[in-house]
Amino acid sequence: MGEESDNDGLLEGVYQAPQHSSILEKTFQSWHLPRKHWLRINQWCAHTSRLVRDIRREKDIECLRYFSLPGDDLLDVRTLHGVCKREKLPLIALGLNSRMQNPEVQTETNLSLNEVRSLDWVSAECDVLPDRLEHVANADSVAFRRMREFGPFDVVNLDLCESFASAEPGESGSYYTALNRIIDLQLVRRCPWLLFLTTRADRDTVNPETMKRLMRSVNDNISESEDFGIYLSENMSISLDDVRAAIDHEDGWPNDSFHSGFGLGLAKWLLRLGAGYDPPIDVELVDCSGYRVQGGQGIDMLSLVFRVRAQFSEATDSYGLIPVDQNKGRDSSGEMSALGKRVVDGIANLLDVDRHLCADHTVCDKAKEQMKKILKEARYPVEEYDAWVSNRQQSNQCA
Amino acid sequence: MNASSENIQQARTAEDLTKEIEVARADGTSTHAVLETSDRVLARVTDGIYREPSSALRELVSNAYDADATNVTISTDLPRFHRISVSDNGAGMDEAGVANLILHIGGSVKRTSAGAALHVVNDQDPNLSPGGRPLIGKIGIGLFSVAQLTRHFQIITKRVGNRYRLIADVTLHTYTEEEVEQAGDEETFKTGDVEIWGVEAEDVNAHGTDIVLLDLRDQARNILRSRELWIQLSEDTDEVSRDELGPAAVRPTYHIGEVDPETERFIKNSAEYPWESTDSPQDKMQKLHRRVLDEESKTSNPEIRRSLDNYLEMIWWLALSIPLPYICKHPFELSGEDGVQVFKLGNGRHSRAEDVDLESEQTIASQVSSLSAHIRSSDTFDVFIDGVKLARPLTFEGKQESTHAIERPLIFVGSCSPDLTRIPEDQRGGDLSFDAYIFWRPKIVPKEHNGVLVRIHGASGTLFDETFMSYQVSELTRLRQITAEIFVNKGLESALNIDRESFNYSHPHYQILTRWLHQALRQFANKHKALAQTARQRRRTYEQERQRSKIIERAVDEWKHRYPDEEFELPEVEFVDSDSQAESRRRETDRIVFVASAVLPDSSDRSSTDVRKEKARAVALTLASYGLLDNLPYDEQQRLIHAIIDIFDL
Repeated sequence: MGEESDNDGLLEGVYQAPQHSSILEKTFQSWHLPRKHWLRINQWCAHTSRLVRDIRREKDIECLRYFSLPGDDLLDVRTLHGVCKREKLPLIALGLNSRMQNPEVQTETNLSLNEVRSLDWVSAECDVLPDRLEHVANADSVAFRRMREFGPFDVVNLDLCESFASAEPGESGSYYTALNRIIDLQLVRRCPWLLFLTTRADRDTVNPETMKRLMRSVNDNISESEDFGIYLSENMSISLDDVRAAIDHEDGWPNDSFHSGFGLGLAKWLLRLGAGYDPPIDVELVDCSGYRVQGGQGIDMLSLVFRVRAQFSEATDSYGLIPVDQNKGRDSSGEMSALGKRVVDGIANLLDVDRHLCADHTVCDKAKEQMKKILKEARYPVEEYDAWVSNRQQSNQCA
Repeated sequence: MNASSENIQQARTAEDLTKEIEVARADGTSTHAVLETSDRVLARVTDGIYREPSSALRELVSNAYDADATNVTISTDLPRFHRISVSDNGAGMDEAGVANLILHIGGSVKRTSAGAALHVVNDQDPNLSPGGRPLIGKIGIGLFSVAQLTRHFQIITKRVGNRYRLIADVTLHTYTEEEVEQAGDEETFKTGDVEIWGVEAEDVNAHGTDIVLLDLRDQARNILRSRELWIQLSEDTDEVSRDELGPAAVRPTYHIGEVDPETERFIKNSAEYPWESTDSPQDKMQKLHRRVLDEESKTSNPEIRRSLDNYLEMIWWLALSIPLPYICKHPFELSGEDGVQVFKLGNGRHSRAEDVDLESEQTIASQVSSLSAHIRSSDTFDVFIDGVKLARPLTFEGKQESTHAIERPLIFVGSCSPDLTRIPEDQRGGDLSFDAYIFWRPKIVPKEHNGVLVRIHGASGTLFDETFMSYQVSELTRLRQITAEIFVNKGLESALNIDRESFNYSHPHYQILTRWLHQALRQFANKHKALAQTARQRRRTYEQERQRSKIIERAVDEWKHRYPDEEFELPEVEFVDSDSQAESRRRETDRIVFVASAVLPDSSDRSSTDVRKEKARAVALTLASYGLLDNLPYDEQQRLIHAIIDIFDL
């Protein structure tokens, strides 16, 4: 090794020239559209409120622990603060945002953190780490260790811009492994928790092999339960042969309802995955909405809400001293089937948020005003918001 | 330029910058300012002056305290340590406050009339915060303290009622010694740059300040990561001779783990926290403290630096150095129930420590009225770091596992407000007033708590001085068993050096304090000696009693063995002073009677005479059990017993 490279080692990190950061220019993005805020309020906030009330029936709750993938404006935390304010419950939020490596994004995040920490019901402990969700897949990652220190969480919000299922099956460091790691972390919870999953759901963004595997989970359910197959076929207007075809061919599921097939497969995969944990978890699909981000006719984005609960087994007294509670205990076959049917119900009755807002201007206007209020708090030029929304609506028909 | 005209000049400059920030905020643009100082000393400190990262955090927390914050939250991105933020809910700053801070970044306007105009001090008393707290900051290098950690930081601040926040992005310049030396007398030194923005705020009632330290220096980051330690530990596993490396590095019992420096993303060594992640912030601090104390079960002399890694150690020192409540209770709130013996220290040269008897519910403060004034129990100041709520890790437990003669810990308390009115004002250095305690127990755990810690308005940068302000009297063992704190309520601040981690020894306040402490230590030592002597005497008497009863029990056992059916009563053995007394007693009673001087070998030690007398009694009884005395004349009996005792004494 030459002398020059030795010197490099000696000098490393000693002479660091500090660079000024500047303020990020605030421009509207697709997640600022009224429909997204409608979902924040009507899905995320509504289900969080319900969860808090349900937990309070079982035990005291000191704070709401929330994990998410926030933007630098922390809109989700600002919106969820409304629930915490109503419920008088401090919010402790941990976020991952890999864009924070950019100094401008870092500054904007610092500012947003300062703002949200100033809110009455947001804890000063809230933090955002400059990591990607995929990092969580590794149990030795800093991101996962920090999550473990903050968690377990009441709400896990995986609000993805891309598809949850973009990776090949078995790929390490994928969203699948990250989710598995998160569920693992959550297993100590006796109370239910919420998983919000927002994902692209069009054929171009979903890995074909992954789609086949998701369909296989549906088919396995059909094989195990004839009722489920009939129920699926009746409610989703698809033949069982089409489902089986989707297992073998990547374009097996009809194009116009690909999002439904993907949603169905994803929810069933999660349901069956849940049964394998120790303790097993029930993953109930409680809300399912969709919208378009690519401007096409079909839904290409799904916003799903799962309510998850670990099923700790009750002690069985084989000597009969303890009376058997008929209402307790888990009839796994029956319950699995009920949850499976709920998946079908959810996907079959998926709410098209774009159409919903288009059809009811009052609802749309309300969402727009609510969005403007939050955007103003996050220092966006809200005086330009209406024009921006109109422009987007013209190009996308319904937004 | 005299002091007042300099202030006017500075005020004018700050006013200009204030207006510039206001205009730029309205235009949605930023203001640029160059940090300058005409002070050579300040130019030299832009690279930092502290040894430990905790010092910079201590200064930032102290600033928040002075800004009337009730909550300070320090968040780090541990274990990476690229970023640290210190957020408070204090008063925050407006344009004028930020302009002043920027222009006086290396100092403070606290305690000045300019400070009142900037809302950083009380309108009535410039020594108090607007909310009435005694100010901590005055001496010091202000925000330059962060230079130890980084040369890039942001200030985000808002005052209540304002519809905007201000953000200042600051970069600091490093000065070389040559640049400073070569500069002319009138030259100013550029110490950094700052960009200031104003952004709209909807939350009108919000207030507070965030200091976000960005791009932490490699050196600071490596200290916080305990990098050196991990390198040493990994080298130790290699096949390298121990002789070449010196003493082996010790893996601390508790640590935050090691991040892989190559990827910055993965953990190489998993953390071993002293708490569970689900513990409450208070419990985490309690456990950190308890675990370090528990190290006593593993090692005879637990040390913080062996128990904790650098980061956890930083938490410990930070908790000790800022104005916070104690982890259990303030030492002046100890009561009769706490099992600590209390003494009151006098202030005179020949004073003696007086006993203070406490009933179970009486506290020290209630019995020693001068001490209660500074316990500001109603003042909330919560400080969190990464989910741990800080509290002073000092406890004063009454129970102690020790064989020491003094069975209970001792606490000596005192207070002093010397009358300095006869000293000319220009030499006086202001008023001085303080309270103090000296806590003694056989072993101080952790070891680093041995010494005296001086707090000014609750804050301390000096931590424990194990020399007790250069106390020269040879009391090494006793001094190693002491933790002491001095709570300065008035004065001493101007004796602090600018790092606030050491004192100017020649300052009159420091000299008075030193003298008082040394007098107090003498009182402590005298009382302690007396107590130890009494305790030793008590213990010796007890031991002799125990020994005597064991000796006689042995002889009684022998008698019972010989006469199991109790057909003969156990005779009594009596010692008298003369042959005539012996003769008379033998006639009057059926006791075995000896002349003490004839049976017992000479000894000046009374206590040993007592024991030997008991031995002689036991020997006599044992011989009598076997009837061996019956056929011997009295003087032969005495001679026999004397010979036996003498043999065992040899």
